[in-house]
Amino acid sequence: MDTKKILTSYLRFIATIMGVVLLTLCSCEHYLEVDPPKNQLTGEVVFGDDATVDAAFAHIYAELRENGFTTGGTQGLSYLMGHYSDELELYSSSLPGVLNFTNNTVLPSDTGVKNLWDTGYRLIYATNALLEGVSTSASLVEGEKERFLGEAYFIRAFIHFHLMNLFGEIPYIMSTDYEENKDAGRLGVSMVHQHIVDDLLLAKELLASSAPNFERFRPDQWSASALLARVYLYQEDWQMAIDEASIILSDSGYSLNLEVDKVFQKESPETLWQLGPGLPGSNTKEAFTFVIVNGPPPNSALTQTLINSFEVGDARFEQWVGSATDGSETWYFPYKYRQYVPTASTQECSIIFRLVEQYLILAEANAQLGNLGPALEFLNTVRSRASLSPLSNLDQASLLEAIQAERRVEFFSEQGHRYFDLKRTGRANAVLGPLKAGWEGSDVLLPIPESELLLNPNLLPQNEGY
Amino acid sequence: MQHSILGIRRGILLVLLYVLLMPHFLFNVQAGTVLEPPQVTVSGTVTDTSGNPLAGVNLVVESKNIGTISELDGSFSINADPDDVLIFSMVGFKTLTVPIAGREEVNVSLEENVTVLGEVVLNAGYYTVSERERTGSIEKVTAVDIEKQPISNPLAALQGRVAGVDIEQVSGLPGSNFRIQIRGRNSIRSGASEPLYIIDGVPYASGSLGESQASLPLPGGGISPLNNINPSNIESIEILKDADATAIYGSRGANGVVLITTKKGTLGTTKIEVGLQTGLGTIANKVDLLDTPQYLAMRREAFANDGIDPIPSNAYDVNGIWDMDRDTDWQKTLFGNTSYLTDVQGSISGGNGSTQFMVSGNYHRQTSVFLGDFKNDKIGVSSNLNHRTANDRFSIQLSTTFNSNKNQLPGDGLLVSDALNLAPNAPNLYSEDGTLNWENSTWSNPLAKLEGNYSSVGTTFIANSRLEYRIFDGLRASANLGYTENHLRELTTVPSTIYDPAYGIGPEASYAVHNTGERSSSIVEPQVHYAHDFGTLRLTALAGLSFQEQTTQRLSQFAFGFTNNNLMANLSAASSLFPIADMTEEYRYQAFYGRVNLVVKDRYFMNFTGRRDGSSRFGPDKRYANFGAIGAAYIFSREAFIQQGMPFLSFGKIRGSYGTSGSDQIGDYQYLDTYSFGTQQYRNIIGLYPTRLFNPDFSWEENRKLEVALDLGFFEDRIFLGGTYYRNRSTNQLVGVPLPATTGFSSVNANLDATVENTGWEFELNTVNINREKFTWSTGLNLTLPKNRLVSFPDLEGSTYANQLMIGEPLNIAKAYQLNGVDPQTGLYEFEDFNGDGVISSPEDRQSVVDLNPTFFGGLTNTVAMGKFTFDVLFQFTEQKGSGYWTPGSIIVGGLANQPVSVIQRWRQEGDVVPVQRFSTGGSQEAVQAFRQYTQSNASISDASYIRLKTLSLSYRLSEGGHHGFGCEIYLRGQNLLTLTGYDGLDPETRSNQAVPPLRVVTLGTRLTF
Repeated sequence: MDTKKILTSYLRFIATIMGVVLLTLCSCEHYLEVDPPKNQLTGEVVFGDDATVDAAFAHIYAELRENGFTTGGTQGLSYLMGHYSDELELYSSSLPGVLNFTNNTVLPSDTGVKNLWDTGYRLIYATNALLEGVSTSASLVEGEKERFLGEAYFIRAFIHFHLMNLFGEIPYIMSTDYEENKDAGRLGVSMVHQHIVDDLLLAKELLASSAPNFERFRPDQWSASALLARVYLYQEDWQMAIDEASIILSDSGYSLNLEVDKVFQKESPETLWQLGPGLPGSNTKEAFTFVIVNGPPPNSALTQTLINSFEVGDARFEQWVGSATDGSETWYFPYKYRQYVPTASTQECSIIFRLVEQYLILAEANAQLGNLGPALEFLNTVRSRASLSPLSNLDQASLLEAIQAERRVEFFSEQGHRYFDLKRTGRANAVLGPLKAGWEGSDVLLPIPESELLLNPNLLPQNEGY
Repeated sequence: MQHSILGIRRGILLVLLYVLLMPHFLFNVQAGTVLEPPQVTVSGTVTDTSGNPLAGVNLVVESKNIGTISELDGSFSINADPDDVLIFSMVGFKTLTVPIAGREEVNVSLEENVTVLGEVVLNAGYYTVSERERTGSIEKVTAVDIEKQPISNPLAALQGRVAGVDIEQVSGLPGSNFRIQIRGRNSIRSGASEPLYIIDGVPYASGSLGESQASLPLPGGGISPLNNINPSNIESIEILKDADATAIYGSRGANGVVLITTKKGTLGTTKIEVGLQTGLGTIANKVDLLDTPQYLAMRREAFANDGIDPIPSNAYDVNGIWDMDRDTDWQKTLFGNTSYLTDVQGSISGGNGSTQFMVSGNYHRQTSVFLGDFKNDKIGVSSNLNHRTANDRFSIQLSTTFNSNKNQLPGDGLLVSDALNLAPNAPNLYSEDGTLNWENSTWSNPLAKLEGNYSSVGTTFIANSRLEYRIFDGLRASANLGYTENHLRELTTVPSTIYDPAYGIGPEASYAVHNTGERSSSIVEPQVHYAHDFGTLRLTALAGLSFQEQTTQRLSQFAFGFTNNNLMANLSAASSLFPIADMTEEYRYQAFYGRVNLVVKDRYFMNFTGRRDGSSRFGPDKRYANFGAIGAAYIFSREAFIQQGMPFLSFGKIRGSYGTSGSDQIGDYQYLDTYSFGTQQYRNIIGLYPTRLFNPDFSWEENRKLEVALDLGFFEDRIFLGGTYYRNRSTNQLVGVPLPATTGFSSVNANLDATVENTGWEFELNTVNINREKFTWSTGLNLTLPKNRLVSFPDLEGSTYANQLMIGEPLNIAKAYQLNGVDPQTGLYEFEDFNGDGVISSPEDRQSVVDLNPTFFGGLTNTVAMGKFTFDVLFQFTEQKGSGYWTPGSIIVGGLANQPVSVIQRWRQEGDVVPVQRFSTGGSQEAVQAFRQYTQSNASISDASYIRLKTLSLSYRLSEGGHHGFGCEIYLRGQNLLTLTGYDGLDPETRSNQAVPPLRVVTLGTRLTF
């Protein structure tokens, strides 16, 4: 064999291979460059345009409607805290988590509690990401930028406020930095309050000059004021509550809806902020959850104690309480929202703030300060809307009691109002203790989710009683 | 898009380079060989010992570059020197060396190789190696064993047959998935233990294309594309376990590699084979639950214990609203039906010395154990063609496979847990008029779930070709080209009829989820192979490149607003549609790899492998990494002093390997900071949400593998014993570090400087107990003793894993409360108060550590052939603990749910010393708390060990078939026939109250050959 020839071809072959290898290695970097995923946008793109920022807000509001504590479904405050207090009675056997709320035997490992907490903080992250992205964006228009920032501050305060009412001392999260947030500790209630008020004042100012709020589907400066008034009331800062609520009454342009049956309709002039529909024609989750077509109730019904608390002739009982029967027994259910299936166009949306609350805040704060005359007047405005005769000649204690009774029948099965009222006025034990076998004094707060304590020891200790 | 075109162009360019450059110097080489023409033509025939002609025997002239293959009649003819030596070899026969010694006709007969080991050739992916001479850890399961089992997923065939490989069926539903772990769990991140699957040289992505909102009935993450592979089309499955075998797969080899080789055409007259099989399947086990009197007694006692009197109006089971004389076995009613199985296979194969072909098809149908018409249909066609040019220089191999897998299941996965939980006196399923009975809205009828349907159609197309050119003897260039396409179409319907009519819900509330997924992947792998003998040194080398590109697309839509429930399968009948997911993901991969193998004196073996990998799954600065391994073996039985001094030792080898491989199973684009489109709208705007907490700097996980093994064969290999010790250490752990919700997310991807170690012993014993002409009996035993341990984890105490992991313990542990029994005073469960603060709380008191890994597992096979009968039996066994009947979601004992009969031994009065706490309806906070803690205690972990008669097969050959005749074999097969276990739930393998347990299947079948 001609070894020389073989050797030459062998070397040539090796050289070719090396050439191919080198050629390829040089182009490696390019080969591995892949197109970005088409279903995701980079942060830079999102904050470059107001339409995409709008979409980021849309996610937060949709989550509040579907999964957050504001949802009208079985995971929301209206349903859960209705059972936890004395508004709703559970009939479903397929909701063991809700059974624990009903019995006040909620456990730190319950998914219902975890959902309230997790969804809250997840949306707070999304809000903080918006705050950071919007404030550093170079391409957003000035006026738009302020509206976005204002809404974001408002949502951050809104979510923290509810988490605080449920869990007591909580971390107040103000950045997206996970290194920092994973070790976040709990702040005292007054500190949390301070942050909430700060955020709301900022929000109010930023939103003051901003554009319309899209059929009240987006919170505006009056939403910020309404929450601020509620925060002051909860803080027992009576004068501040009066000031804030008065401005809304005088300047906002919203008015009480005198047609009781239309209060919860989409166009109601009383609504400050409502959660807009998902798909065209869809209505509220509340109606789906609460309305009973035939008895016995598949989910839940109103308790007899709540039914008994309505005065005879109260238009709200006529219009906002529905009934169903199986022929022998009758059950009552919240009928504020009536459209439990989609309609041709959306008729009802979950309302977060109604103007009537400001009247009752004014009544309560004035009564607390001893201004019984104005207090009674605000209370009677609400009563007369419900076709009830005005009250008169009440001392301070009776007046305050009457205001709480009014709140009970006005806000039943709405966003946990009843429970928060019992808690903030210190009556939870006295009212719920005798009614509910499982009630204990420490039940005023829900437990911090167990998974959270396992991951972040700075959240210890667990709330008392769990 | 531009990139992918670039990629394809580059691939084509490479192939072109080969085509252009190769022949150029090949020609020179050819010219070289012609210089010394052989002298004479030698011809003859090859037969076996009984005189039957043998076709396809490899024939080479020793130390020359000439070879040929015997023809159908066993004849051959070759040009050689009169003093040359001919070597005849064929799989299954002993190699024979015959000097020509001047003859012109040489007739030989080859002796069959009856040893256990035989001359088995293993597929190591990029190269092949003989079983005897391998330096790495490679296991093989062949068609002979796969075919004995009535199964439809190739992984099922490996259960109990391979040491070091732990495989579990996730559910007994047709088309359900399997969990596989090769030598333990390497990643702290869960769900990242999947090995790399390669089918005929083409990587096969095993990730589901399913939409989680659509594939609810299937536990384990949607339908796996592996279900689309027809087991009866598989010739062999090889499993690569150690560094020596896996390092050449670099970054994807950390969890082992599963190589699937499909059947190929064989030489011989055209052969037609038809197989028919039909059978029945039922669930193998039920939980022994309370009957109605026991159940009602429990409920009444629970109300009494909770001080609730009278019995509330919503306790329908016990307040008289439901008939208290009714007693239904819900397990039997809801998932106790018979599943029917039908399987038809057919193939035609044949060919001559240069061209062989095979075409096959199959049909498989299995129905479900639920009420209603649910079934899984599979159809597959595959073809294969091999050709070799007359001068034996160029060869081409083409294979294509198409499989379709249609599955219809109930739309909801909760029927099994319903069956366990329903009160035994729960109402009738149907009213007298045949409609679903809702008993005046007092229960939710479980059959309403069957109103909703899940259907899926998955298809897989695999095409590959391998081209090879022998440049000169010893040097070959080859290219492996492959293309795979996977499609999945899913439809889940949730019609309004699943709801109680009392809700008054009509078709406008019905909805359907439509999902279509598609994944295509192409690969180009040019390679060169070199082999040369330098006297006592034999060198084999390989170098190659790999370019892989994979695109995954998925569109899932939520459709609702139907006017009629019958129209739900049609998207255009929905008044509203919105996308749940619409995504395209691209994954690119490229590598340079090589292997050098040295053999000295046929005794000492050294194997070097290495790979440089790049993956698009990492950020721009972290894309590349190097992996490599060294393997060595010493066959000491080939030493003269052993052969003389220990004649009983027919084979002895010691081998070892050390090296690295990696893992990039983290998903695509994880390093990017992005926003995704949400599923919900607001004011007609689709929400955008932050996809993840992002970290652009995470990189490869590294796995260092060490292995030492000893293989011994005694008495001409009739007894063959293998023992292996391995130690794999995974570092630079790629982890979704769990975070508290205050960060907004539940985890972030990052590399953690933690080390996970898997060590273990694997033993295999194969014996030929009896080997007579009419009676053979062989036994195989494999046993694995695995151990998994977290070696180090910086600042574990301060990390978010503090309550999940412990240094020195396995990854898969439960940190549980420790049950001290039932307090005779209060009747409640009592737990160890580890921190002594008087309160039982989490995490402080969850300090009882339970290891959930198997302590050992294995299988025992026996094959007996007696005359025309063949009998096969496989036992699979595992010793392990696992989650038992009660889990944290369970309803309290005494609540509105049935319970196992073991609860009869409950506390009733002060002083009772019993295992079960007092009954409660859920109205007592202490009882609820104690029960919940029980479900998180060591007592809720059950012994999940089992011995299972996995496979039993009895076959009878009516007529032999052989070369020209008609062959017929009939057989009876069984799967999961018997299980011995102390497990307290449904099944120790699935360990779930939601999954249908694996079915006991018995089939009868026949195989005909023409």
